[in-house]
Order: sequence, then structure tokens, then C-alpha cells
Amino acid sequence: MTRITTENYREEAIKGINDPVLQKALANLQIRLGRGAEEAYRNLPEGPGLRRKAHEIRMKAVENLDSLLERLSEKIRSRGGHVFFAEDADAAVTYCLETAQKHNVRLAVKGKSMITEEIGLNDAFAAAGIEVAETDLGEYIIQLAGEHPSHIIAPAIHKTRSEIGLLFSEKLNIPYTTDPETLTRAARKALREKFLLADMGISGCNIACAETGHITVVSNEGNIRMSTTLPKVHVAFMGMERITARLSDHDILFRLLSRGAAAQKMAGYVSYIGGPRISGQADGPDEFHLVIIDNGRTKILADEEFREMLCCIRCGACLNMCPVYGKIGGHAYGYAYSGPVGAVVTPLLVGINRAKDLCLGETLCGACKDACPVDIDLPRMLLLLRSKLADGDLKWNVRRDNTGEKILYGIWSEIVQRRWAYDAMLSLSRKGLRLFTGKEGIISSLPFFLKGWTDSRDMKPPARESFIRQWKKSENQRRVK
Amino acid sequence: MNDNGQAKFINNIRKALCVDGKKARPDFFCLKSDEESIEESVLIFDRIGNRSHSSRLQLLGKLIDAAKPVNLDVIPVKSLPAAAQEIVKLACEKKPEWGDAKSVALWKHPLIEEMNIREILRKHDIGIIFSNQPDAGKAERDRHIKESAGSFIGITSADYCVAETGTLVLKTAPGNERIVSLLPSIHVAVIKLEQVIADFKELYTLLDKDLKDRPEGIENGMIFITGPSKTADIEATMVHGAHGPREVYIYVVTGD
Repeated sequence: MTRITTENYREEAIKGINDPVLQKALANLQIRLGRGAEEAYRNLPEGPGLRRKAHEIRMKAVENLDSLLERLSEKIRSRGGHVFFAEDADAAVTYCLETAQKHNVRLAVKGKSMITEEIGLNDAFAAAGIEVAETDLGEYIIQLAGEHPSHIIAPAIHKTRSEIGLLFSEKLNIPYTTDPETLTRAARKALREKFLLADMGISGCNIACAETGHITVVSNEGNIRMSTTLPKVHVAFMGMERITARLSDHDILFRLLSRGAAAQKMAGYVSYIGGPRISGQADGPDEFHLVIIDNGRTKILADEEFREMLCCIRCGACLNMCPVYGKIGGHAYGYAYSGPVGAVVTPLLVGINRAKDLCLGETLCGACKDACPVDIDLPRMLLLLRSKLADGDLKWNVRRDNTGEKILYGIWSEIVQRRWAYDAMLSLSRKGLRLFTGKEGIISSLPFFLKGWTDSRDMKPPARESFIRQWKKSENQRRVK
Repeated sequence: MNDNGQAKFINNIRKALCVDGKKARPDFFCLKSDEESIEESVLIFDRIGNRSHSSRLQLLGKLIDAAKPVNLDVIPVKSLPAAAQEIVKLACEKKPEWGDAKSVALWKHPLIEEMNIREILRKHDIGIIFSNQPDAGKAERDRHIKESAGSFIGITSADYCVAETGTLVLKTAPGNERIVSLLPSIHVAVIKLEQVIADFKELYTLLDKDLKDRPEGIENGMIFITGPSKTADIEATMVHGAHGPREVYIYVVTGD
């Protein structure tokens, strides 16, 4: 199983905020990709409203998932491909490992895939003594450094060129350099050897097409094309929701995916793969396996309030706009998915109580909804998760998170329903607060739990009389005149 | 029967969607496309079919503009022999990336045969790599891949080229290997002006028609290529030639 560290959200977030290199990288990324995507949506011939159309396409696919997956697997099997349905991460990992062992695989090359992070494939292969080489340059850097990715499409943004230069000179035996082009060439050379040697290629799937029976993989580097073309066995993993009905649906989806992910009009490479090499073909794998994974997704599907989340195509656009992600970075989210998408998906997959800080940490500003190429209402679901934490929920097995807060709001609700009680409370707190006025007529520290408010800000003491009282007084004076 | 967990898996989905497995829902794929979209595709076909030479040249202009930001070179040429000449010139100018020997990998494709480029390249002492054995064994295929990996130019054609984005669309077929547009340091594609289409709407309308006319259409896979391989993974600095070709040239034969 993959490491889940959602409990360390606070510590990791503080670490992120205090890391000047990360802060610079995140700011740069959000300006380049976040604003770039915004502009790319605006420049769509159909306008940004196309995102709504994409949402409808995705939702229709999710609501017909059973027949779409049946069609996809039937088509792929008819071409001699293998399709395996995995209910959980273990089943998926075991299937892939057994396939590797059957073919005596010693080296597998892997294209960047979030789902293999989710199921913890690399650790399982390492434990079985099979090398898995990450081939996306960012992922490769992260793997050499023994770290975890911090962004869906830019996994190594937290590393500087001099860090990468040192890492490459040590691990790849090249002279130290900070030139990105020279460093990229070194990785190109090292990984090309692996591509040509590997016995197995591993990939994810961006958006499958049920009608024609293809998976698609998208990249800019060409590493996924290498991994799916050269080794004799190709194993592709897909979350069960990553499918659409018709080929023509891809027109809108790929244009939006490219814009959302990298502010491009179209990604560098898109490959449609429908099975193994056919006779007469000089390249392509002899065996093709597709592993379709549930791993908690049917539970999301069953809840109509969260079903929308399955429209997500994991492009990372929401990360590039989110003010919280933009400060704390990806590691705080403690699982494969970071940013707003992680703040909703991770609690649903690993447990809402366990990953509560993720949805409590977001601001509900709505930037993620505007950034989403398929117009998913992430703020609505963040709020829904919070309400489940506040009240507890049987269906999702959520314990009430903060009983003190609940009691306080219970009292508050009783007070605001009674005019006299509300007035009494206001007058009492006005008097109470004024007691803490410091030297310069400013309140700069409060006792007990109120301390949280004054820890990072000063406040003016409240006026001696409430606005309503003052208003009434002045009205009376006017009348007297 | 071993269905690799399919029945149970699909059943779980049906339960989650609250649809009864026994009660037949209309088969998703038997549903007729709505009339509006049929009308639209008819219009698009007409548009592509009746496109005049001058509006095709306009599309070519759009393609050249779209190519610039993705570092793609689009070069109009009058005829196939002219394309061959240009490509040979390129092959003579460029240095190989791996080793000293120059070799070029080629598709077995009517357009490339017609260029007769193999002969000219041989005259310039440039090696030729192409797959000539339809049912080659594993060892032969491995050798072919290794040779292609050492080549510095790969020459393909394409099925379509989308002007809006500069995207080449290559269907995979025997003789039209994927590696030729992937392993060499430079990818060269030769297409005719008629293969340039306006946008992805046109592309998917054509692909839909291909599905009906030739069921093998994209059966065997398809690749979209938009410019050379690139990465921005080191401090967001753009570098071309991460794993795939470092340069891509499209020669468009205009025929006038």
C-alpha cells in the first residue's frame, strides 16, 4: 500500500510555507500555468462555457459507466488484449506483479500516472526485486532523489536546478551543471537505455473511449509513447471513471485538458491504444493488459452529492489556481492527489475523519471551480465534507469532529433566535472586550481560545454603545430639533 | 468462467447507480445520434469536401502560424521531388545525435515511395532503415527497433494535419510504425495540402466517418503529434527533445 500521511497536514504545510525555494517555484507555476489556463479558456472559439458542455459529457459517461466499461473491455479483448477488473489497490498491484513475474520482468519503464501512485505500485515492485524506472523527467528526478511528487503535472517543482545538477552528477556520473538543457540531455540518454532494455511498460490512462475501445495516454516528453511502444508487455491502469462514450467527445475533452493542464492548445502527444501489436506490425507490445480500478470509487458513485467528483480528469488545473496549494505545496496533502482535487478526493478515498485537515484547510474561494476544465463544483463538495465533519455521517462513517464547536454553535443558535438574549450577549461581550484594551487603545491579546484570533492580528476595541443604540439616539435628537 | 472480476465489478457499479441489472436500459450505443449533430457533420463534410485551393492555402497559413509557438517547422513545397530535395538537404546539414554514422528510418507509404527518396539518400551515403518483413520474429523486430533508435531522421506521412494547433494525426498500420516518429532525433512528415484540416471538430467528424467506412480505421491505434518532444520539469525552463524527437518538420506539398 502507498503511504498515506494526511495526518501530518499542519506540519507539512508549515514546512512548505517556510521553504523559500518552494514559495518561489509555486508562485512562478501559478502565474505561468494558472493565468495561462485562464487565458486559454477565454480564447476558446466556443468561449469558456465549453467547460459546462464538457461537464455534461463526463457526467453522462459516469451515469452509464457499467455499459461503457463493458463495451471497452469487449472491444479490447476482441483485439487480443487482456482486461482485469480490480476492486481495490491490492488486487490491481497483485495482478500487475504476477504478470511481470510470468514474463520474468527485471526492468519496467513507467509513464507518469496518478493511479499507480494511488495504489502504491512502485513499492510493491521494489519489494519483489523488480526495478521500475519513472520516465517523466520530473518523476525521474523525484525517484533519483527518493522523494514523492508534489504536483500532478510538475512533480519536481520543489527542486532547484542546482539540486538537480548535484543529484545528476552523483547518480548519473556527469559533470556538475545547472543548465536545464544539458541536464535534460543526460536524462534522455540514461532513460533511452532503459526504454530499450525494459521488459514491461506501465502507463495510466487519460480518457478511454468506449465506442471504439481505446485508452488514451497524453504526454509532452514522449516518454509514455516509449513506454507503451517498446517493451514487449504493456500494462495500463485506469480509474474506472476515466472513460467517455463516443470518440467525438474527445474533441472537447482533449482541448480542455490541454488548456487546463499546461495552458496549451493541444498536448504534445496523444496516443490511442486499443490492444497489442497486430501481425505485420514491426513495433508495439506483444501483450496488452488493461487494469480497471475501483478502489473506493463505487462509494463516490453511489452518493449523488459526490458523484460529480468522478468527472475529474486529473489535469491539475485547480492546483495552479488554488491560493492554499500556492502557499503550502503538494506534500502537505499526504497522498497521490494534492490541491483542491486532493482535498475532496482524498477524504472520500481514505476516510473523511482521517483526511479532515485537507478539506478544512481550503478557503472556499471558488478559484478551483473557475479553473476546472470540466466545471466541477469543488467548493460545494468541500463544504459538504465540512458539514459531515460538523454533524457526523453514518453513510460515510464520519465521527463528529469537534464537539466543543458543535456545542458553541448550538448555544449561538439559541441566542440569535431571541432578541433579548442577543442584545444581552452583545452588550456583555462589548464590555468584556473593552477590558482587554491595551496601551494604545488596541486589543492585542485575548485569553483562552480567543487567543487564536489575536495571535496574528490586533483589533480595535468595540464602541461603547452599539450602532443601533447610537442610531436611535441620533434619530431622537433630530426629532427633538 | 473466469471473467477477471468483471461481473461482480460491473454489478457493484449498477448497484451504486441504482439501476436494476435485469430491467433493460436502452443500449447506450444503439441510441441514434441526435439530428442536430448529424446535420452538423453533413455541413462539416461539405465544408471539407468543397474547400477551394485558395482556402486550403489559407489553412496552410494558419498552420504555419500555429506551428511557431510549439517550435514546429512547416515548409510548403510545390511537388514531391521538391520535398525529397529539401529533406536530403536537411539530412546532409544535420549532425547525428548518437555516433557518427547517418541513417534515416522510413515508413513504407505510397507518398514516400513516390518521392523516391531512398535512392537519393543512398547516393549521399546515408543508411536506410525500414521494416520490410511483415511477420518478422522477435529477434528481427528487436534489431529493427535498435537500428531505428540509432537513426537521426525518421520520415513518415500522416493521415491529417490540424491547422489550428499544428497537430499531425498518424494512424498506426503495418509499414507505418510508431517508432519512426518517436525514436529518431528529427521527425520529418510529408503530407499533401488536402490533408490539412481546420480544427479538431473537423478531425473528429472525419474520424467518425472513418469508423463507419473502414472499421479498421483507428482499430490499431492512432497518435497525435504537436511539435517536438518537450519538457519544462527543471525550474519550468522549456527544453526540446526530452525523449522523443528534438525537431519536427512538416513538408506540405501544395502542387502548384
